[in-house]
Amino acid sequence: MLKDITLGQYMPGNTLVHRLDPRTKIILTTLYIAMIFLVSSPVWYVIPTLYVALAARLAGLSFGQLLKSVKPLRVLLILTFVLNLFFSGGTTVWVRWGIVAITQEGVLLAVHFCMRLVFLVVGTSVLTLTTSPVALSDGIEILLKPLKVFHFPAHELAMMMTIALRFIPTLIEETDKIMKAQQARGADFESGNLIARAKAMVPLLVPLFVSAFRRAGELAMAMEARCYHGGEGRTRLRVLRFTGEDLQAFLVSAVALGLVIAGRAILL
Amino acid sequence: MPIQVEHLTHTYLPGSPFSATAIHDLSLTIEDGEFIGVLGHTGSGKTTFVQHLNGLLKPTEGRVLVDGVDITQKGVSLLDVRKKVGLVFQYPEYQLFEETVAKDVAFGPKNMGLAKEEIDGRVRWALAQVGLVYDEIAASSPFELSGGQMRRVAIAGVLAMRPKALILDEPTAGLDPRGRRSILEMIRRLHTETGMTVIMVSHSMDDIAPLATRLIVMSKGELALTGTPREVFRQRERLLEIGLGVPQGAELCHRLRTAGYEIPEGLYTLGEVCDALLALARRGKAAPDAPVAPGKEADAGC
Repeated sequence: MLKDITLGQYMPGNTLVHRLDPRTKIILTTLYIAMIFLVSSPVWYVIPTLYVALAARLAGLSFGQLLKSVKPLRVLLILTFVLNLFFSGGTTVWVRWGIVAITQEGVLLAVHFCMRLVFLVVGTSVLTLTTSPVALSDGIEILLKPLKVFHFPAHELAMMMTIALRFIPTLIEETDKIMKAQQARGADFESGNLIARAKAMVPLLVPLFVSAFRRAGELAMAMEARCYHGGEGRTRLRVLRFTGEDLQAFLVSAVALGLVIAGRAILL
Repeated sequence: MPIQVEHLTHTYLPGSPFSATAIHDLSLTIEDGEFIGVLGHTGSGKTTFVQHLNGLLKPTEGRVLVDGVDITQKGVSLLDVRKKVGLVFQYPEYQLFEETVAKDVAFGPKNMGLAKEEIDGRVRWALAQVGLVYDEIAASSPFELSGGQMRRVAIAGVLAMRPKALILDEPTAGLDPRGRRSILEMIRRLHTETGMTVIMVSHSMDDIAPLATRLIVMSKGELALTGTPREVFRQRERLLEIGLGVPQGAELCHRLRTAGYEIPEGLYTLGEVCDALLALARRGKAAPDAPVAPGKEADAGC
C-alpha cells in the first residue's frame, strides 16, 4: 500500500535541459522566481508562459506532467482565489452582497496571485523533473560554498540531503514490513478514533526508529571505514562543468527577464 | 483447518509501468498437521505467497480459503484469520517494540481482546515453547537481548496468539550455525508436540529437508514442484535448473553414483546417507579394487 508513493519526480532523459549543469538550472530557477514576482499584470504572464513552455518542450515534458505538479496545490489555490476575490477592497464594484463585494481590482488580484502560485510550482517542477536528486544536492553544495566564510556547512548540508533522499525508499519499505508484521499480530492501524490511532502507531514507530538509528550507525561506520572525514579536501567523481549549452540557457533567460522588466516599465 | 489456495495471482502495482506479477495461477491445499517447506530462489514469490495466507496481501485474482472461509471476501474479520494463521516475518526481531519481553509477547493476545489472566498464561506458555525461561527474561527489555533471543521472543509473540497454522518466513536467516540448529529444533518440537500446521519458507534445502513432510518448490511465481522431500529431491536436474540444489547428502550420493559407486537413489537424510556410505565402505573392503577416499570415511563417521 505504501509502495504507491512516488518520491521525487525525476524523469530520466538526455535532453538539453537534462544535460544543463545543475548549478545553471538552480540559478535560472531562482531568476525565474524573481521574474514571476516582477510580472506586474496578468497580461505579462505571456513571457513566463513562453519561457516555461520552451523549457518544457526542450526537456520533452508533457503538459500533463507539469499540470500534475499543480494538483497538490488545489486547496491553496482555491483559498487564495476566494480570499483575494472578496477581501482585497477596491473601488470598481461589480457585485455586492451586504459587506462583501466583488470588485474589478479583487478579480484581477485573485487571478494574479493564483497565476503566480501556478507559475512558481510549474517552473520549479521543470527543475525537479529534469535534475536527479544527487545532481541537485551537488549543485546546491557548490553554490553554497562561498558561505563557508560564515562557517556555513555547505558540504555537510548537501551530504545530509543526499543521504536523506537515499533512505526514503528504504524507510518506506521498512515501514511496510513492520506494519504487516504487527498486523499479523492483530494490530489495527485503520480504525478507531484519533487517540486510538495515535496509540496504534507506537508498535510501528518504535521499531522504525530503532532500525533507522541502527542503519545510521552502520552507515556512519561504513563511511568512516572508507576514510570519510567531511568535505575538507574532497574531490568529486563527477566534476561539474559549464558548457556552451549553459551559456545559451543563460542568454535566453536574460532576454526573458529583460522583457519582463521592460514590460513593468511600460505598464507603470 | 485446511488452507486452500485457488488460482492465486498477485500483481504488484497493476496498471502502472512498474507492474510486476509475483505469483501466477497458484493452486494448492494445505492439510492439518502438515509441515510444509516452501522453497524457491530469491524473488520466486515465496514471501508474497505466504502473506496471502493470513490476508496481509489481497490476491489480484483467485481465492484463499482458511477453514472453508474465503478470506478475500469483504466483511471477513481479518483478526479472526490472523488468530488462526500466525505469520512470523523474516528477521522478526525488528518488530519488537515494548518495554519488556512479557509486554511484547502479550501484544498479539491483547489485540485479540483476551482477559488478563489468559494473556499472562499464554505469554508464559509461548516463552516456554521457544525455550526461554519466563522468570529470567520476562521483565527485561527486548532490546537488551542477544540476536537469537530476540528472534525467539518475536516468534513467541506470534505463538501467543495460539494459531492453528504457523508460517515462518526464513526463520534461520542471519543466524550462526548453533542458533540455526536450535531454532530448527524448536520448530520441529512445536510441530510434533502441538500438532500445528507449520509452513516454513526457506531457500536452504538442508534446513528444510529433515523437517518437512511436503515440499512446495516455487519458481518465477509458479508452482514448479510439489511432493514429499524424497520425491522432490529425486528431481535434481529440475531443481538445479530453477537455481536450487538438493541437500548435501543427496548431492554426495549423486556424485558418488556418477563416479560409478553403487548407491541407491532417493537418499537425502544424514542417517540414511551415512548407512549407505558405511555399506559401501564395507563392500569396498571386500573388493579392494573399489577405492574409498579417506574423506568419505570421515563423512560416514558422522
